[in-house]
Amino acid sequence: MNTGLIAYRYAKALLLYAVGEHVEDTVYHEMLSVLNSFRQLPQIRQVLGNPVTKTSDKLKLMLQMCASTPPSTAYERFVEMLIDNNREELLLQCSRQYIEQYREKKHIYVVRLTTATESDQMTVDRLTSLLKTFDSSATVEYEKTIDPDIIGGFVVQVGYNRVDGSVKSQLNEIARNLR
Amino acid sequence: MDNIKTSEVSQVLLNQLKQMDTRLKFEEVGEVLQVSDGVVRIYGLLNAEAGELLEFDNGEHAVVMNLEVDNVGAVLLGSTDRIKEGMAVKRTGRIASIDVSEQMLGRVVDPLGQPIDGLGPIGGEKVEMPLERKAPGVIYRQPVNEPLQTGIKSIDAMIPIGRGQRELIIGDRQTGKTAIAIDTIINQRGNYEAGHPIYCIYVAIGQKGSTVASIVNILKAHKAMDYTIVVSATAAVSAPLQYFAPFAGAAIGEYFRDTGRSALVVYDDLSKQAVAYREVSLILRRPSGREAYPGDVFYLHSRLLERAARIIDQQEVAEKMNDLPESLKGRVKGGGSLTALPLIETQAGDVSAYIPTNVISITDGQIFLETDLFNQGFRPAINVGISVSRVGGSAQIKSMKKVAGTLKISQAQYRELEAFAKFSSDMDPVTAMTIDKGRKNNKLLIQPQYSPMPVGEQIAILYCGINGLLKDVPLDEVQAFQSRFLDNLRSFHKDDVIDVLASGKISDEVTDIIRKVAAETIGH
Ligand SMILES: Nc1ncnc2c1ncn2[C@@H]1O[C@H](COP(=O)(O)OP(=O)(O)OP(=O)(O)O)[C@@H](O)[C@H]1O
Ligand SMILES: [Mg+2]
Repeated sequence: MNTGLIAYRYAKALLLYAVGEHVEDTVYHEMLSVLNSFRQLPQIRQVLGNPVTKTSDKLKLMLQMCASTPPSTAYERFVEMLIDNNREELLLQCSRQYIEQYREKKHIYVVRLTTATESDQMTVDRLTSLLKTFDSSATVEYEKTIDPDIIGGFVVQVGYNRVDGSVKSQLNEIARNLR
Repeated sequence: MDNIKTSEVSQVLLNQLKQMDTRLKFEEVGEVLQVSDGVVRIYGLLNAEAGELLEFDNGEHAVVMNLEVDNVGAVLLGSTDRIKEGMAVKRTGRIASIDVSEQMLGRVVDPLGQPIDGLGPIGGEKVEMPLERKAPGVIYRQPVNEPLQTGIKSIDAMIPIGRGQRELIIGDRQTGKTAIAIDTIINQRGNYEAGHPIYCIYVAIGQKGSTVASIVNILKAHKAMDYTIVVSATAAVSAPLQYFAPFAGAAIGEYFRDTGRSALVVYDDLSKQAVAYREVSLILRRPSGREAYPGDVFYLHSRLLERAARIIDQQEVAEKMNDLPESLKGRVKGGGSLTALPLIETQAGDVSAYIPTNVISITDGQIFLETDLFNQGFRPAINVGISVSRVGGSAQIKSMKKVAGTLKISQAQYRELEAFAKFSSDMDPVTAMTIDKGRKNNKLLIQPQYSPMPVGEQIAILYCGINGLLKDVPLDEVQAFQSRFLDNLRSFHKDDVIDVLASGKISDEVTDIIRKVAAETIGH
């Protein structure tokens, strides 16, 4: 079963609807917290996929996950539609898809920057201007992580592309070549 | 340890370090969405290709199986518990492969080529062979015309197998399927000693660890490990590894095949591989069809078995073989072969089930084993009447063809008469003689395990049976006659009978000696 395609279509419909109602930004933030809830509590997926869980409980859970009180009408309707169509299991994938499609529409680039120590503003500015050369209307969101494990250097990931310039991966590469 | 000076080692390392490419590269990464039962679902990796090898940040690997709109389904090559949700995965741009080296001979490895026999790492120059590879096209092949002797009389005489052929061994559980394959491997000892080995690869899929261990011990005891590699994915390893095991066997076989040598690969058994594949497919949520197998299970077995082939002798053609891995370029030699003996287990003799019919239609012939025959003491329990080899006589040496050419038909006639004989008490002498000969031939075809017979001896003893030389030997002394007769031949007529027959020649002088020795043996 191609769950990816189904989630893609649901998310696309939601985005079209939200844009029509001028609430796409609200729904974006709601979807971010939905995704975050899944990250924090992976068990939620099992609960939603479990046919024994009562639909009313599932609905309540799904409404709580968006972390806004009260949830936007668009989100509420979307969740109800998922339940009506027996697709509540797909909430996780829908949230990812929505976030992705929204970012694409708004030219938002999420840069995951991992460094061994606190990264300075200059690096960040340079990355931003680099991205602007590709897409002049780019907005850049940073997700910074400090991971002493990488020893030095940096790891930058934009979308599905990653440049691994960490000392750790270079050492690994050397070790692998010597094997 | 290898005898190298330290300075040399450092020099090598220095060169290697200098050549190392440390420029930063763009990598395509995805994120693990879900992991269960040896299967991962990965978000991202939009450009991944089917069959591509993926690498996790902790060095574990997976192979892409499903491509969907926003995610990729992949099977893990390592254990499930080292992979966590949210982990990053990157593309490698390579296809899953196994490192093959000459020093793999005598070893037991897992489907990734890692030794699991506790004898330390495998040395030697390693050649990277892809697990999935297209079979050689028709122009790179030549007809099967050289025999692969199994050492089992009923097979070599009536269902001859040729190098490059795919012959299915099919039967219920405990009917002696594995025994035939193992005896065939043991019988290749002669070729090894003569300096033109047929390298053997025994792939154990979904069997008990203890069963595999005892098979390895038997092969060792018969000195067969010198030219054999065992690939083992026991019932305890994950379904993906059981699914990959035959491909690993084929990849190792191709290494020998494409370097101009002969190889034999045994898949024991493909029913278990199909079950493992079904498990993987169900977890990947692929649509299932008949008996819940995914629709492409036929393709799974056909692409595996197509890789058995006899490569053309012409060097300049062989070198251009399709889909040649980079690592083999410049090493290819024509004239090699890979013979496949797939095994299939049936349930209550039902050959019309899904997997058996599939594999029967893919292979070049079948050896049917039956529980009834096995229980009656006819072992190997081959039902000769319905077993065939489509390559047939062209893969038989001349002397065998001449002597045993009619054996299959005359045994069939005998069985018919035997059925009638049950109802009538008085028989004409011709019928009585046919039945007597048939019974004795049947006795001659009974052969204990681990005692494959060289082809020269096979022809000599079958000559006795087929030409009625046993008519004065009582039925229950046929086997005793056989061993005394062969002892005599071995002691006094190795050069002028056994070796002549084994070289494919037969003449009146030879048959006269056989008749004389047979008469003497009976006289004693
Ligand atoms: N030619 C033979 N003569 C006597 N015994 C034999 C012969 N061939 C096999 N056997 C015995 O029959 C039994 C079953 O043989 P084997 O394990 O080869 O069968 P199998 O079909 O591979 O079984 P399984 O379905 O368990 O894999 C074994 O105990 C073996 O020793
Ligand atoms: Mg067996």
